[in-house]
Amino acid sequence: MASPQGLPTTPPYWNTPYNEITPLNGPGASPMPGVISPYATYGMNLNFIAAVMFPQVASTFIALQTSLLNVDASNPAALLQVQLTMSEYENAVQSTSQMYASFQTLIKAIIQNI
Amino acid sequence: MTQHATDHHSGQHTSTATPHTGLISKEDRQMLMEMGIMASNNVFPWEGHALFGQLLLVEPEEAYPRVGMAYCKIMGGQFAEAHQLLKNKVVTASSLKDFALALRGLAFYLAKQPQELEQLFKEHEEPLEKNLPARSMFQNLITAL
Repeated sequence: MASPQGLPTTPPYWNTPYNEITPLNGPGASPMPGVISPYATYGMNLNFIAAVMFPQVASTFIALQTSLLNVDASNPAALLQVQLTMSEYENAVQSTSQMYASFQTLIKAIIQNI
Repeated sequence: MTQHATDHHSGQHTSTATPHTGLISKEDRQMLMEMGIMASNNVFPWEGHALFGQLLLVEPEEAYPRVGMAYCKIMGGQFAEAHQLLKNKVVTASSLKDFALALRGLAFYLAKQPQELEQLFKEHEEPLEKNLPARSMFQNLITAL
């Protein structure tokens, strides 16, 4: 069903995250309308926001997590790689803190100007 | 339809030229918009979509339901639909037009379309000078790409 403007009025809709790195993007993330997603828990809430709005944080975090899980502590090169990955993650967090502040200001300004 | 006068430097509404005559009061619009945005951000995408869809039906000549629906679409990765909503003349002729540009910039950013993002900014650089929140968002998006 559509409105006179051709816009959807019924919500046969699922906000599928575009980011491939999040498990939210799996086939199971597109349930039929009215069916609660198995991922729709408060535990996944922050991951959802981080993955959609701040993909660089999510991707570098996953890279860091992977490198930490697989690191060989006796290998200096592997430890250096972890340090580099951690640096990338910190840089991503640093850059998104500005983005988040700007994003929050924009949303508040929109609401104030309605 | 309500007319808005906006202090573009702060991006904040400073006065209302005419009394609001719509079906929904300004305060309720703001509350509903915030609810829809929160829902779209978090784990209630259907609710956010349904809320903005209903607001579109109730106040089709107002810009804010389209802006809200577009935000919902952006959060869901449906960027083309978001652009379509934000390019609607109801939005581009409203006091939210600069904010709509910033949201379109966000859509280009999330879709990893740097050329389109920069082009959109260049095309509207002058009017965006007057809207600090929208301009700041653009600058952050361009820097981050």
